[in-house]
Amino acid sequence: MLFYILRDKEGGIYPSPFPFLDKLYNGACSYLYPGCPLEFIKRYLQDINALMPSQNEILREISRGLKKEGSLFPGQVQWLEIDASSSYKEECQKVDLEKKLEASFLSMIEGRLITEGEFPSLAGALGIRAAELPVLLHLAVIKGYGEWRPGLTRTNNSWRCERCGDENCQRWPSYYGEAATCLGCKSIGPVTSLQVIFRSYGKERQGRKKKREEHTQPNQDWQFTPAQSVAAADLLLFINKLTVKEALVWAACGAGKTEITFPVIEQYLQEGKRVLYAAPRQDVVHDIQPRLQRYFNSYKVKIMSGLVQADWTACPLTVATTHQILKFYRAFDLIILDEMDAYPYADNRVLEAGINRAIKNSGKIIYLTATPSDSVLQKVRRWECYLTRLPARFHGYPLPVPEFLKIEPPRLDLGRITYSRSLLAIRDYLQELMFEGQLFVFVPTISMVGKWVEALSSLFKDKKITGSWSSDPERKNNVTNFISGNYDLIVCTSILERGITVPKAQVAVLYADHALYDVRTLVQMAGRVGRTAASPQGRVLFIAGRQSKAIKDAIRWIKDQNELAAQGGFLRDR
Amino acid sequence: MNWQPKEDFSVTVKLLSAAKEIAEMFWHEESKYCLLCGMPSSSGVCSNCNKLYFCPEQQRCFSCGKLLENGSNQCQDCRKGHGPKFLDKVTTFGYYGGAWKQFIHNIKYKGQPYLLFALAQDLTSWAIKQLPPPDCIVPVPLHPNRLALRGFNQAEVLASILAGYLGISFKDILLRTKDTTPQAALGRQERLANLKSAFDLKPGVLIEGEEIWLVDDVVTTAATIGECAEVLKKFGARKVYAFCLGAGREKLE
Ligand SMILES: [Zn+2]
Ligand SMILES: [Zn+2]
Ligand SMILES: [Zn+2]
Repeated sequence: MLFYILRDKEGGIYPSPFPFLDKLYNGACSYLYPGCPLEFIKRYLQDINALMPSQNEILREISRGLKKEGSLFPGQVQWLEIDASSSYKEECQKVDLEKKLEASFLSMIEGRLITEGEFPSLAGALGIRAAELPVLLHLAVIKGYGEWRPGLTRTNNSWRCERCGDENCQRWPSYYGEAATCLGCKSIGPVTSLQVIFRSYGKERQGRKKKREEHTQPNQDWQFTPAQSVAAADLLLFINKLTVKEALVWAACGAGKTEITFPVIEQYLQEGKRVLYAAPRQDVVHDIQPRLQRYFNSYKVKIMSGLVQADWTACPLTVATTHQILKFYRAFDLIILDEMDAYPYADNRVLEAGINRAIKNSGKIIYLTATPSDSVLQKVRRWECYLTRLPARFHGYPLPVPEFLKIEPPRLDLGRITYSRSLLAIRDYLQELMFEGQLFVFVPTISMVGKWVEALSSLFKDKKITGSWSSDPERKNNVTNFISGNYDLIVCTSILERGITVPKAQVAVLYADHALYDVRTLVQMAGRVGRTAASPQGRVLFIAGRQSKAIKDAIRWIKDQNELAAQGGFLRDR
Repeated sequence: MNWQPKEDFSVTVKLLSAAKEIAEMFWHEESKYCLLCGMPSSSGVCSNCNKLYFCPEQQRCFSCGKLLENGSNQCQDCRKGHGPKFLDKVTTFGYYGGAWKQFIHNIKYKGQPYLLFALAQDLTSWAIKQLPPPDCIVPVPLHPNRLALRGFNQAEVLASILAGYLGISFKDILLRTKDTTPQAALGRQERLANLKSAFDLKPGVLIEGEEIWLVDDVVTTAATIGECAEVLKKFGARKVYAFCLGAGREKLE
């Protein structure tokens, strides 16, 4: 979209994509022709120091700026009167503007951050032509519902994305001089510095508060376990009584942490507020949305992920993959982040910026995790984040505590397999585990998977053994085959650790002291065991030449959860 | 209010110097995955996509660039004389569909012209294998209004990559005089009518006796490159060859 510099009767200057509209509503009288991308205009205007620059000063500054950039922009820059008969007028008249700027449109754009790439989809949802949408959005800008921002803004020596806040971008030479495309958020549709973003001001809307008694106890019959009831009540306390903005739910693996947020969600929905439930992976999102829709069947639960078409209707409850958060601005009263620790560091930065933009100033954030990161635990220690524990699994059995075995596993990836003492010792332990049920053997690197499959197949000739790793094209097959019981043992890298439930599963972690294994990975791997009510117990072995800090911490974390569960009286009597 | 695009090669110069740098960065960062399908791959484009979209074994219609199935070198349309007239040979890099179409869209409409640099080597070696070396390489221009809106011309990026890698001179010498409605919205008949005399040679440019590569992103009816070739021939070009990123397949009844 091209922007023009406008000048009103008082001499004020500002950029606009549709001078005619500004003449109509703001009394703007002249504009600088031709137009150029908003980012360039904003930057050149910055360089003008005068309070009320004259037309000539502006013209000089713009021409100078373009020359400095080495732009191919034509030399002919000039001030023109805004012509009432310009083609924009026809464009504007075709859209019955005032009528279309109605409540439903405003509710669709409220709290949104809309990139040019999304215009066609929004126009489609509104049933208008793609060319009409920017006009309508600009009218929303004139009426104070939002603002235009360049896709990326120049920083001292780089660019920053206005959607995700990242500085990781690809620069390239354009017709106007250097341009850039953000790499941080290109997975949800690239943004460039030549484009604009419509950003809603996300007015803090007063919730339609229905007369209701105060919630301190869950009022719907949620069929919670005792541990869940306590945690859910704790979250209601956090929402209704505490001033702190964020809460962390630290749950045991397989404790049912999603459900304990339902009473809080219910309260927000009844108060007419907006809630976002975000999870990192598409499969998790598509699994949770129907559950939420079932519980909250009088509200529409919207789903946003790369797999479904954009849905522009305003909904009280949105379930989305985490990156979709970047499409919002001051939109939500409550954001729930499931498995917030499941991101690599770089994604985390983008995500954090996204949360801070998407939440309303008065909003609250709940993090759900079995393995909190250092940074969130530090927030807890500084009283910036409220901590709720959900220490017991739904079946009331304690988490299996990992056993540390001081055996250095041989380096099979270095050559031929030799049947060393350590390998034979490991064989005996694995044999024991396989009496109990199917066995996960975790190894730290992809290159070790094949070798261990080979070695274990020759050690256990009567067992069915397979292997899998994150980028394995056969992964899905192998894993489903394992889950349905077609294999006795699977060798895999830690990436398979989440969201898999195999009854009677046992776990052995080889090279458990490996640098790739931090405390959180080890806890997640241990969490594969004892997840079902039918087989709530099992064994976890950490096998390594030395007991690393991560191993000690993981064992301590799990013991702590069990102790908390016992203190709370959440564990079954044995 | 009309502005004359001036002859200025500064963007091209910058593109060329940026090209190699960007290409290196790409290999560093993204070489583990196929640019088209995202699967792990040891080269920029995996062998599967290479077969699927670039079809190196398949003949192209030498008149219009369409990919052909039956081993001949000209499509039935062109054999009946419906093809473009003034081109000496046309070659297309790949089949305009699926992930390759998506890739070209990312370049054109999603502000990622730099993606082309990652394929610079492959594009160049295909072009020079199919077409005789020219005196200069000329991009199909955008109308200035369109150029102002998009901020770059993808054909120019492509042409400058070829020119840079082959050490052949790049000449941005054509003018688009008509602000055409987007091609995609029109049917074939309108499309042909719509393009009548949409191009011209920039004033003061001499191409007498030169052999020229004309470069564009996608050929649909080949009307665009045909028009450009007509202009170039009118002003004395001896041979005009065309190279495009993508074209359709011939549909046989
Ligand atoms: Zn971004
Ligand atoms: Zn591929
Ligand atoms: Zn043909």
